[in-house]
Amino acid sequence: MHAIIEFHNVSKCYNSTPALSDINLTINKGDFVFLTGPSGAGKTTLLKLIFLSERPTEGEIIVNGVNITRMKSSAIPHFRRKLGVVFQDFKLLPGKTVFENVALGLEIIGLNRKLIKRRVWQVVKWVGLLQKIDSYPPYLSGGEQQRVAIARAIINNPMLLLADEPTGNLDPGLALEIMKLFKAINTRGTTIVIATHNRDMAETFSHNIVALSHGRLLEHSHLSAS
Amino acid sequence: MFNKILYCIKTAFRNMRANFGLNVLAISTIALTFIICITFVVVLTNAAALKTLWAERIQMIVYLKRTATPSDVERARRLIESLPEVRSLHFVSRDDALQQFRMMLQGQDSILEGLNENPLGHSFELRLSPDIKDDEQMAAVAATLKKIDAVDDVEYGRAWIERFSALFDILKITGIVLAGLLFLFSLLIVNNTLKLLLTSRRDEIEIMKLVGATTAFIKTPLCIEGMLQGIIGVAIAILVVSLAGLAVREPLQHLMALYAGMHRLIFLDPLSCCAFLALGAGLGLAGSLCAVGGLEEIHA
Ligand SMILES: Nc1ncnc2c1ncn2[C@@H]1O[C@H](COP(=O)(O)OP(=O)(O)OP(=O)(O)O)[C@@H](O)[C@H]1O
Ligand SMILES: [Mg+2]
Repeated sequence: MHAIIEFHNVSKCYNSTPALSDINLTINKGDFVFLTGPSGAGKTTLLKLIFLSERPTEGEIIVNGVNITRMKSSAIPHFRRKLGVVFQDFKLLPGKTVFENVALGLEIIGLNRKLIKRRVWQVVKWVGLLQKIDSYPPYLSGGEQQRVAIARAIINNPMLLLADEPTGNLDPGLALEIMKLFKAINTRGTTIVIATHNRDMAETFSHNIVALSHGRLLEHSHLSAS
Repeated sequence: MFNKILYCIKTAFRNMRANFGLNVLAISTIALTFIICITFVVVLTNAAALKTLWAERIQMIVYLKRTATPSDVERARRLIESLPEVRSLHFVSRDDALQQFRMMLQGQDSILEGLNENPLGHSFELRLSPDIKDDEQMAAVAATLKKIDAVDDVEYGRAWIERFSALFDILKITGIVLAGLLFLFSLLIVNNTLKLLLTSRRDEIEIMKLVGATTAFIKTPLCIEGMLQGIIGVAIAILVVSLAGLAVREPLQHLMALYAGMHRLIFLDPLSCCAFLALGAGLGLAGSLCAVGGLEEIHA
């Protein structure tokens, strides 16, 4: 198995307050990993280091064989196009329709309209939101917005999907639906890293769990492997 | 590439509609600036044309006595022609002069009706040699001419032309300074508008960056927006100035023909319109380029 994410002695401080300390971590291609820990443990920070929204204070991070630790800012956009990220607060554009929000990832690479339309329809249909494709995010429920965010994240067929608290405010039934989506994406070969404070849910859906507490790696268990 | 450009243009138009108020503000500022600038250019162009016209025209008029006989006129002509200071002369008969006078009075020539006889005399319009430059030399020539028997009076208006020249120069300098200031001002306004637009779209820009948009891709619609503001502003200015010009054209032309001998006023031609439009686009682009520098600071 090949590693897709490697953390080597990574620390991250925000204004000299450590958020992550000395993290060593390897995630393999095709894994379905849960990143758990209480609020403030550093889950979001760890994900941000992977998609280069933040830079590590110390250590090296390698993504898909490329050392991204000191990647030039100008190279970041192209790097991000290979990732999909579902943000804790969705980060949808309120003034654009579901279609336009999802299409954004294709517009920036300059795909032609026809292809964009076909691909967006396909993905939006897949997450089950076709009837809302012309709606604006503020008029959607939390679960629907979550699905738009997922659709946008997978529109480019990313090799790696990062999701931050994707079932945060959803009822258990809806959470299950969303998890099924992630499972389905995973079976197509996409590596998935989901940050959640809900340890129970993590254990229900995967045996590959990374536990953080106060910025330290507590355990990395591969229960399925044993 | 083509798809990206298309997307950027579409986004620019969309954003303009979304931030209508701010765009209206920027466009009206540019329009106002250019209304003033274009008006100035039109006035200056006409003033320049007038200046050359006058500089080339009659510099001195020699009025002959009403009693002058044709042989007197002939003698006077020969004498005047023999002067080295005179480059050319044009005879205006008393009938022609009356005709001109009637034309000038136009409709009010009833005051001439009481006249049985033409009160005017013959005259010569002279153009002097280029060596005659100042008033003193003019006065000397005039004095020589006055000594001729048949000559009644000599009139020359060089000083007036020179004063007009000075006025023209002042006008020109004022215009350039004013235009410069106004340009700076509207550049500032466009720049500020786009900064405000940038702030209001902060979240959008952050999200675009997060999904992998390059800064160029984010900047382009903003620059197009700035350019459109410039072009629309100038187009409005050209329209306003042209309409105003159309409204005053007839009476103004008449006035200028009568009192300044200028028969054709110069208005905006298509080429200068294009130049102004390009200037507006450049202004908008410059303003937005300054503003989009702030884009780098948006963290994502
Ligand atoms: N931009 C920032 N500037 C300063 N401190 C930050 C910043 N982002 C996070 N932190 C701090 O770093 C620590 C880890 O934050 P992080 O957001 O990674 O936690 P988390 O595990 O995602 O928590 P939650 O479950 O609430 O989302 C916290 O103490 C937080 O206050
Ligand atoms: Mg978090």
